[in-house]
Amino acid sequence: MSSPSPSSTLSDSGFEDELLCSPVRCASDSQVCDYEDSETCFIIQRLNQQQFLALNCLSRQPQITAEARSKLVSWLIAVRRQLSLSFESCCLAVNIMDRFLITTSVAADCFQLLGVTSLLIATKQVEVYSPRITQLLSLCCNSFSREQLCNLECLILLRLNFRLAAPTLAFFLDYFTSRFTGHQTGEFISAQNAHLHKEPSSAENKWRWLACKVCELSLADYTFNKYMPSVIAQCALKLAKDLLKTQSVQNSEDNTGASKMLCCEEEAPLTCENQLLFQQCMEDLKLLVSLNQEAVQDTR
Amino acid sequence: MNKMKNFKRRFSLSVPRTETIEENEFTEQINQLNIRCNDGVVPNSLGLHSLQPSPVAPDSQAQSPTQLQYRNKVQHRRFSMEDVTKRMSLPMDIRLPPEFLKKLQMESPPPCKPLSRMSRRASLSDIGFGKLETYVKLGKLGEGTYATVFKGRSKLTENLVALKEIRLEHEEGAPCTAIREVSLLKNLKHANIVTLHDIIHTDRCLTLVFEYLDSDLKQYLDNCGNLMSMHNVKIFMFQLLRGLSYCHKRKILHRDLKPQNLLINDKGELKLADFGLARAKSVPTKTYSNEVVTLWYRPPDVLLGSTEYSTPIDMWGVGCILYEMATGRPMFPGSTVKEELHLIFRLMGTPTEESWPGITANEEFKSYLFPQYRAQALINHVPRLDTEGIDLLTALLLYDTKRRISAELSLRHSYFQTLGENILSIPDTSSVFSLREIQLQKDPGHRSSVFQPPGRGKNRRQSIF
Repeated sequence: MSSPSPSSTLSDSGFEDELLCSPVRCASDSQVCDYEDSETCFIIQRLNQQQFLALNCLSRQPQITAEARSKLVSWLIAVRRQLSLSFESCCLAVNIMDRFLITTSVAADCFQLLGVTSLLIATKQVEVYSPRITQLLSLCCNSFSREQLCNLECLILLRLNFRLAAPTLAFFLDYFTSRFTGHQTGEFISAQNAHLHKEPSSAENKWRWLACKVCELSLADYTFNKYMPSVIAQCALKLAKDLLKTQSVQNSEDNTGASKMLCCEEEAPLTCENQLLFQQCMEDLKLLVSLNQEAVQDTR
Repeated sequence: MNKMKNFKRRFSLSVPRTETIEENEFTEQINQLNIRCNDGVVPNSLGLHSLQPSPVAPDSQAQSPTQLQYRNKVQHRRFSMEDVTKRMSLPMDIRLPPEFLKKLQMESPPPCKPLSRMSRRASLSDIGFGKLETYVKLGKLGEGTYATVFKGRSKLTENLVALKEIRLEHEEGAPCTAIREVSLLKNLKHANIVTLHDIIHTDRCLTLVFEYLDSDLKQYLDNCGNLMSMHNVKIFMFQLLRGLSYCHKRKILHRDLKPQNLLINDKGELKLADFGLARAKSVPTKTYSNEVVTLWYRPPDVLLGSTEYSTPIDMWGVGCILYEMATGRPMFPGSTVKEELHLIFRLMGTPTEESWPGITANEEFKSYLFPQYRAQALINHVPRLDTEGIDLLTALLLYDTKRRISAELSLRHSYFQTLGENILSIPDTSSVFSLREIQLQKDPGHRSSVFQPPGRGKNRRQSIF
């Protein structure tokens, strides 16, 4: 029996209005299948993100400030690199931490423990392997005990009612970049699918890296606590594209690759309300990047 | 003939419509329960004094999960049982503790508005949810590395439950299997997926309270001497695919489908269980572990090391289960990865570029140097399965994951045509047996009545682990 065409399947799902335009590069059947799978994930995650938004999570905290949160999240980003964890774990950890802060007031001397415990929970949810507790405790200079961490882990899980399937910034970032470039890449490309993937151009790699950098900055900045992850991801990608355009003018050697990559199709038209939100988020990101020039200038 | 009539009549009586409607209402309401977390959760032994955070009630943002409006009747100051259960979205057959009702009567009539989340949780805690005393242990069902499972009874509803006690003494904290099982399962509400009723935390362990089903598919096969009615095979297959389709639509992969994890009750309802290895498919380029799915039910792409799988990972296992129900024996009972692959290739044929695009570039596959087997005709191995069944089985066991049939498409396969069209449009929370035309038959090899599966002592559910 033949598989149904993607359009008829999507019509049955009732999500037709939500769908974005089909990417131009999806030509072969196998890519269409990959695309359909990815699209369904996107629809589910976008619909889900509202209920996981940790709006104004510091409003009831007597001892935790936006600056303290920024320091802790920046540290968690460094930790995830050191432990070779995925960006998704990092994003989920921050979400778990923020949502816990809504339910519970936390003393300043416990805040770091909350950070590593949230990271532990996130890795148990999404990683193949989790870091050892002793490893996490040593990163805190052994200021806390295993018992304290384990007790806090249970407390967090119960306070959040085990609701851990938060749509993350990492998901939307990966989704949008995969869609724009028309193929999937990752740390591992299985031999089985090798012939379906082509190597991403250096321009695409720069774009991804820069967008991820911008997202990391937004993760640590409390200003972006009010934006949906999908909004931040799209704005970060657009900003990264604009920044690379500026760079490509200065470096004529990269013109060919950069301009080819940067001719990605634009987003679907936005509603009036969304447009305002996007503009506001975009302005905030521009300001954030201008204040952190050295971070986005680093070469990998 | 009369014997068959009596048999059918007994089955009909066991699934009356009114009972089904009530059961569905019960299931739906139970799924709306929340967990009350008391301050006492934090043990006194914490060295760091500051690690005793106080709860902050987000009253301004909390909303009742239901839109139920309570209308106070001026004529009756006493609250009836029905009023309370309706207001809190509780099952109708619940027996509320007398102390709770007394406390309610002493309070002034509450204003006419939905309960906030916090006050609803507090009320649920007063009734007994989230508390160990609410449940009575009746016996041990099985034990594993992280957990012990007991049969139990709820004092509130008098219904049987399965109590899964997860030990928290593990040096790495709460097991990731428990975290994933709860976080994924609590969002799944389907007649063919086991229901998680409650979660209880004590110092020593985390107890998950599941609905109780007294058998699983492996046990069912044992009880009928591995000779099932082919009609029953079809009904069980449909229920398995129905629950799985619901999961896959939400991008949740079960990753451990096997007969032991398919629970069956005395009505013949089949439910997916044990979501400890389950996973939400999230980031598109995410890699996953390739050490999932019990070996006999693991697809060849994962056996060859693939970590970029999706919903097709479960469909291969479904095919193996269909074969096992139809023949009474496992399809590919290998003891090592290499042997497993060998058994698969010997029956289904060694993969080629035609049957599995890209296989000749797979280093793992090339290193094994498998002989070139030709595919054998499945009909010779599954003689009791009809043409349509063979076609479905073939579609489930395709090497190319992109062509392997999905759960949703399987439900519409012609193999299930004899079950009628109504079965495709019943609500997610309705049992297939809510349709009068769906009835189990007596299995040819069954040794005792389906209604009274023989008890095999405390370790009858050892296979869970």
